[in-house]
Amino acid sequence: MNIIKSLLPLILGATVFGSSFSTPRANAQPPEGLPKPPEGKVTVKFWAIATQGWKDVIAEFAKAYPNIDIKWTKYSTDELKQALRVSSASGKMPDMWFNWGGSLAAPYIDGGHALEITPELAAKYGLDKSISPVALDLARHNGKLYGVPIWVKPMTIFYKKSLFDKYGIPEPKTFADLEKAMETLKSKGVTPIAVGGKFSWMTMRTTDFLIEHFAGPEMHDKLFALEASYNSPEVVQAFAKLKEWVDKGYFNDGFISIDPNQALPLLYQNKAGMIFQGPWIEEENIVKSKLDPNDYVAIIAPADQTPVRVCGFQEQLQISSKSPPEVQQAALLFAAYISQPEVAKTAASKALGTPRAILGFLPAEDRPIGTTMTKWIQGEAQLYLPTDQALPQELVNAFFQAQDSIVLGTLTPEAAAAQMQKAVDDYKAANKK
Amino acid sequence: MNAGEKAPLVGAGQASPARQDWSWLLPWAFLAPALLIYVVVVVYPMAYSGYLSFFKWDGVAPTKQFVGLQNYFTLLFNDKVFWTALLNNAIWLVAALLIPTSIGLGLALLLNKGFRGSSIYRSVFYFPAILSLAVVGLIWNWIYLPDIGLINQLLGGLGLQSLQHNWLSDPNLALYAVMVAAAWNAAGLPMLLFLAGLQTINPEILEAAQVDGAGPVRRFLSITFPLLRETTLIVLAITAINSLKVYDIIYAMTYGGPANSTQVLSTWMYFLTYNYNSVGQGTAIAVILFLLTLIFAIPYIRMMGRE
Repeated sequence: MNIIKSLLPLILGATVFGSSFSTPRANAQPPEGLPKPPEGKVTVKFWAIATQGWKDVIAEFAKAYPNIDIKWTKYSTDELKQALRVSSASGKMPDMWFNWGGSLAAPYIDGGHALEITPELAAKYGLDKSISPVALDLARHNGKLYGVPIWVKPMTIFYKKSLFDKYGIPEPKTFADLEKAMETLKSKGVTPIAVGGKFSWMTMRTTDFLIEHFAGPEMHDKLFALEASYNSPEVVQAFAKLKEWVDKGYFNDGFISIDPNQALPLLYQNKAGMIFQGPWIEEENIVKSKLDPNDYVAIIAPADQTPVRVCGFQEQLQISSKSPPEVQQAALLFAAYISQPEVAKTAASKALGTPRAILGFLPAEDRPIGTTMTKWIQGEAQLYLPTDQALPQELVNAFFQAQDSIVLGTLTPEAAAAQMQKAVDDYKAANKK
Repeated sequence: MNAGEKAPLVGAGQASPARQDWSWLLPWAFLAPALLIYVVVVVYPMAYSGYLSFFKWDGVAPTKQFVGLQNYFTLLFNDKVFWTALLNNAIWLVAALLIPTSIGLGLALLLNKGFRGSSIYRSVFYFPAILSLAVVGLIWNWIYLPDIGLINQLLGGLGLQSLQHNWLSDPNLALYAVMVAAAWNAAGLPMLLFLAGLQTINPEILEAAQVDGAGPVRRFLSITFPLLRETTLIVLAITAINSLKVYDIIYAMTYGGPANSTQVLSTWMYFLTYNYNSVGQGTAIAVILFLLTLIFAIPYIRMMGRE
């Protein structure tokens, strides 16, 4: 007892001292303007990718809405695609799931699995005011909304500033500048562009950029709509330029079998000068590796076209059309909650990364990549989808095959373009309505 | 009937219906739980896959379109990647039957001599077999890296830069590069099976042959190998069936690339079903794969049944 008495001041002091370092109690009040939550205890089964930063924001939501439990099941990218597909066929879809857009989300919309976010629902949950029009436009399918956009992610060229400064290379503003920069880097023994081409989609980013440059925005969109021919001089030029860059050694050796995760470290090690990537590298890679994001500068890949466009896509939360109404309300409330600007500014939301689809919202100053890209999507540039979301999935393989065959030299650019167009013609014949 | 008279038999030659023998049901009763699980987990999915192969379906839409044999015709006459995959499976089958089984047999013959430390070597040679193929793929991916991979670094160190290669980027080499990794993993099981088979051979037969002047090669060809016939058949059957199922190491190492050059039937089936929304064509490949597997599975099962 004497020991406890003598230690008591120490224990009390330590408690007070320790509590001064605890996270300040976050605001547990729901944001204004959102509808009331459904009554009673509601559980929302939520599927999303394991590396996404949902944990803290789910905890924050739980404080504001204690009767709603968001149960997050984590998947890798391919696992999530598989799980959604299998569960849709067996009638066991989750209540809410993360999804990309374009032809990756279309099956779930066309199959009647995703709840339509009608204009009335969007107004009720404030989504028409909180989500940027660019994000809403990208998310629409046949003119209707079937998900709540969370991120808008441009994919473009990042260059290593310190390396460019070392070799006196100016920031590329035109296509010619870009090729000059690549030539200079190559002459200094640095790989101009780091690519991990194992799954083909990373190579696709370069191919898409080249098609945007040679074909222009209007024709590029027509190609995606299958209204223009891939067997055209513009596409052949783009394919030929890809082959030229491969032959000049502008990509890392053996890139076509390299995992994409192995590409960015080449920039860390100054073995490569540029990479086609997206804003997620700021939070998931650069900041996590305790590197300076200011050294990895994102530029709109200079396609020399008007309007100025950058490849990009939105990512969204989709809600099951078959869940009970109270679960749908809870899921919509969660999506609306995290889309509020005041919530997006909290520490808990920071882990979600940027750029967010929230209108007028800018990331923190210590996130230069997210800030730059957010400014693009809020005014400076339009977006076009990447091929693997713009084309029907049945044609994506044909595109990857054509592109990779050019890289390997097993097909000429002309033959690859013809092969791709044949695949389009076969697809259209098989899907005549 | 009068007292004392016996009741007539119920029909001449007819057995009494009073007690029937239900003992034949007993084995089925014991088999029933396992059979139920087998039907639910194996038979039903197989049958449903076969059913789906007659439909055009993206795996998500609530309705399917019946197309009959169209998926099979598309694969056989309009899908170059299917034929690439089939050829790759055939190459893989031949290589798997020859390479890891020969390595396994060779290791078993060496280890059967029972020298000091042979049990340690047995563990060392068997170790790769306990790794999952996905892990094997990861390890060998690093070994094959063009710049910093072990193989190219070794070749460079030995002054053999001309032999350095982009092993997994070359469509002519990639499949064989993956086979090397698979053989490293697969040699352990045949080694154990052959070792067990060698233990059953009476050493006196070999000693007698040695006394009669037969050399080691002669003893192997005329005595050891013939006596290993049954073990060899088991190893070959298991290897053949496993080679048709190859999937994870291809997925981990090359993802079917570059440009679909290392696709095998299992990986192409996965891609069509899960990546390219063609469930009908994917399940059609599953049916074709099943029929090909039966070619090896039926003789194997009959052989095991005879024993």
